Amino acid sequence: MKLPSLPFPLPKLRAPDAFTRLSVRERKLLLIVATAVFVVLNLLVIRALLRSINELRTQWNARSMTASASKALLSQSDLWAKRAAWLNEKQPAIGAGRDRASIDLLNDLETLTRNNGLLLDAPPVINPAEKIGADASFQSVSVSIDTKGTWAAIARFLHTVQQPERFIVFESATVQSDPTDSNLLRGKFRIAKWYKP
Amino acid sequence: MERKLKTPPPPTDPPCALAPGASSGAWTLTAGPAGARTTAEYSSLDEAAVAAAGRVEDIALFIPLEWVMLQRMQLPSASPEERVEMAQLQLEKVLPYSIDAAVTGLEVIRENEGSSDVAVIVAPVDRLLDGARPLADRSRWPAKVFLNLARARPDSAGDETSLLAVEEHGRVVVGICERGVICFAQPLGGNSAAAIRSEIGPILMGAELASAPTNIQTVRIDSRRRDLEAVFAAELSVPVEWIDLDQATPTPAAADLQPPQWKHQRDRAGRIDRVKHSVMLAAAAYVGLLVLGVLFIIFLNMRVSALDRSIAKNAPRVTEIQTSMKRWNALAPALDRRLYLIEVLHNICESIPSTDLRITSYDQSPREILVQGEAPSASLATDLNEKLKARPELAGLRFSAEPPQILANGRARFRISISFGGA
Repeated sequence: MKLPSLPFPLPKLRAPDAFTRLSVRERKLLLIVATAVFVVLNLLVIRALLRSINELRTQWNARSMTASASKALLSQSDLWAKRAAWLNEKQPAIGAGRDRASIDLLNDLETLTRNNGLLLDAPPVINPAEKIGADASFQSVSVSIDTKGTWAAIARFLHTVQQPERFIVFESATVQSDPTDSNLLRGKFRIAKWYKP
Repeated sequence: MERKLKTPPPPTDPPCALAPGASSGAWTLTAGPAGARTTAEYSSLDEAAVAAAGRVEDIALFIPLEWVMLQRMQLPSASPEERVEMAQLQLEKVLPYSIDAAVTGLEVIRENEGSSDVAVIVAPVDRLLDGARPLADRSRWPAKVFLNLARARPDSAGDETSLLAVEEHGRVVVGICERGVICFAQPLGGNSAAAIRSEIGPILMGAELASAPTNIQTVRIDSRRRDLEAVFAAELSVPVEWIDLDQATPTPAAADLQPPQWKHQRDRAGRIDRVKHSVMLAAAAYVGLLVLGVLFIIFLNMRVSALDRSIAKNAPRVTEIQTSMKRWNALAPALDRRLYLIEVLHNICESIPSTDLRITSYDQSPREILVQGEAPSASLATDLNEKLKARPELAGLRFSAEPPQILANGRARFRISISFGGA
């Protein structure tokens, strides 16, 4: 087999005098030890290289995913800017205090039940305020009402009460057939309005 | 005409020739392709050996006459090996050193009936080793060793007897070439025409005493000493030829005086060189791989840093968008029509597979919606669950249904749970 030629001449190495003074057995032992040290050192170097490469590849994959997600988000930048502006503009603020807001909500709901042909089964109740977290997106004011009416009246009421600009949420709702009259439905609703935090 | 089908091997330079120079102590190195060989002169063998060791071709060492003893003999007819043994037996008597410590070269001049005329050259191994040491120190061993005078011998001599004259270390060496074999040689006291004039006669007489022929037909002299042409022509009255030693064949058909151990040393040096070569190649490949690995790490580092910079640059805007998203998603129950109670109820009603199926209870809490009802059969109740799942408006919600419970009247009571967890 012909080996490819080297781009440089072979060095003419001379063994150090200390090496030449050693016996054959000592030389063999020295070479074995030197080879073992060389192999171990190289294994350490290779291991460190491979570990670095793996770590960097993992980091690169993670960063790539983050960058891709950022890019996707940035491509929707206009949409979210518009949504943020819309929320700032439309979400109501509790101007005159929480009690006032609760009463306003209660009045609204009474008006809507009346206008949609529903009967209030019991007087509406203003629910106590819940503690809000530091990063909450809203302050909730809620009222519980029990109603009775036809399916059509309830549907109209639900349709009217929950519109995007009203920020009304049904925290709980139970609609059941009235045991006394199967044409009527009973509805128990806990309705909240979400104000700006 | 025979046509060679095989392509000839690629031309390689012939061995370089390391030979004694004209001036005292000088050595020459002749190298290059056949027909265009060039010669450089060095002041010592060491210097010439350094130059020769740096070349890739084999080295042919031409040794001066002073290193050897040349003798013409007549031996009984025998095989070549037996001839050598017989010659050695005879030489042992006259040599000042053991024949075992010498290299013997034998060339047959003429085969007679029952005897052979031979020329024997003996070179002490120690002298050869001393001479080749500058090369050996550089792991180069001569591939061939010849007598320097052999460079002047004719390529095809026939029965002709020639007188050869070349300069070695400041004096002319004269040899008699009988039938193409140098059978007698002697150095002169100098290299001048006067030395030749005064010594050529005694030399020829000595040759005659050594049984060498003296009926010289041609004189072959080194072309650099053309000034000696006249004196040779005058003394011997024969035509004189000039020989260009630079262009002479580097491996003449003469006895090779290479000691056997040199071949072993050359093979060993070759093996060591091959091992060194392989180790260097492997080391170069290994270092190359390590360098590639380091470059790859640097490349990855740069890529990661570039991504970090890009992420950091976009971070404020991304944080803004994420805050908007979080706020929007938190307010989704109030904003997303799909999650409105009326919309959910509408979808449930639209999914009812039969007018006989009745919803008896709808219970919504912040986490889930519980729909209960009665169906004419269990399959209709299952149908309702499947239709709810299939509605695109309710995509993202999680549905679970217990097996319908068959009532006493044969109807099936069902209970479907819809959770907002996945929305």
